[in-house]
Amino acid sequence: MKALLYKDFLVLWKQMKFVLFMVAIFCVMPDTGFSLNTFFVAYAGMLVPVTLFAYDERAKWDALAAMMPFTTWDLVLSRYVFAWLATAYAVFWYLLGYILLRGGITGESMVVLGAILTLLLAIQAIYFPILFRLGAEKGRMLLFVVIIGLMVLVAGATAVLEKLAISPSPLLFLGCFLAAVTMCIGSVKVSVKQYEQRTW
Amino acid sequence: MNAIQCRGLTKAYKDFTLDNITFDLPAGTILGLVGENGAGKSTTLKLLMDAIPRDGGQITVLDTDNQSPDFIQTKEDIGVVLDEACFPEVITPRELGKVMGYAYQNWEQDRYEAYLDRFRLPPDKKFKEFSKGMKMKLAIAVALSHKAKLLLLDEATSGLDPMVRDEILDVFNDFTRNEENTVIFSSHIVSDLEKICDYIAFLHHGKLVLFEEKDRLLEEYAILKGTAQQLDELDPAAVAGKKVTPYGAQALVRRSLIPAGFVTEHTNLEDIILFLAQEGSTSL
Repeated sequence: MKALLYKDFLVLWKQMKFVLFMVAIFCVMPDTGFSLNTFFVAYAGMLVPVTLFAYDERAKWDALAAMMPFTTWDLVLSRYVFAWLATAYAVFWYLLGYILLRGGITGESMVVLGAILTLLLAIQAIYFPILFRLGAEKGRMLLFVVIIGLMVLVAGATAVLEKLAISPSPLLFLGCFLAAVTMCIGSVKVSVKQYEQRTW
Repeated sequence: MNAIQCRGLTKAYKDFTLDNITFDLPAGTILGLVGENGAGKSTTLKLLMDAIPRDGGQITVLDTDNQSPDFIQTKEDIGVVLDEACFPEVITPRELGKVMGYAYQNWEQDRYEAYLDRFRLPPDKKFKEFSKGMKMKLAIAVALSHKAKLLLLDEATSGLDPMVRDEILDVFNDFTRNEENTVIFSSHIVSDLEKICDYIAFLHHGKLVLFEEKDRLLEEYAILKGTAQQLDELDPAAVAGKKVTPYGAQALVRRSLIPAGFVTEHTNLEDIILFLAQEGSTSL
């Protein structure tokens, strides 16, 4: 897997240096009221890996990788790990921004970050198997369907909670986050199955 | 010892079926896999590497069932060159060497650098700036730098000029000087195959029409020219394929079954393949 991560890192650094710079800047900068910080955390965690999928597809790397001494698990898991590393990169700048420019890390900032990470993990868990099955070209359009579907689900759940007069507790947030982590672990297994069915 | 044993290999797509492919390839030989576009050459190579799911059959590569968990280890001993080099376009040969060093346990950096020198490949130039010939040479350098015992080459010389093709064929010839090393070389440039191959496999519409030693093929078969009527008088078993035009007729015939008195001409691999590719020809 080291080879795959190193290759992805090289491609990311050479193709998307500017994007990495923008993610760092927008995650650090003071909040302008448009939630740009959280948007760029999500951007790094979702669109960076999707773009890497697309670059690999264009180079037909997957066809070669399938013939190299990588297990399907290596090929699939490396994508998830890279997505998590990209997310961690953005979170680092996000937290640094709070420490340096936004008066320190607050409980509220952590709740917002936790919510965005939960949503991000859920999107990765649902969307990555689609990408592994269809590839970036065909799968790209479905990203918006997944995001909108999850947004509707979150809005619906929030409305139900309000109707039942249940205020979101830290325990509920933690439960959602753990559920998203579990989904992601299950998603790796589903992606492996999808990848094995793909033809190059 | 066989480098590859393939039994009843089958793969069905919506509009194409690779049908019941069976052959044994002895170690230390070069197999030329020939066939028209869409005949199933690339599919066969992918199936040999278990890179796509199959519908039937069994494959053993370098003494390992290619669907066993041990096959990942066997892949260390297999060098692959696809019709496009398939490397990320922003990566340089130097960086690619590092990636491959992490991927292959037996990676030989010195050998890789020697191939870069031999092929005159600039180590710090981006892959996307390479010509088609340079890209293929880089892919070959990678395939030969991890102590491979088996090379799978899918159209590795297509689209290259004759000089580069000749240079690359020399490299493959060098590779098989080690008697353990085996090459499967898919191409529709039959002259390339005739130069270096020991065995020829001809795939036609997903079926293995022919798997034979090249020298035996060239010894056994000949071209017979005459009238359509003359060809009709021959033993049907002697005629492997024929072409009849308003100006005369030609047939690919088995020398041993032709009566004395008929004058035959020496044939080449391309003629044999072309005759066999015609509808209604007799499989050998």
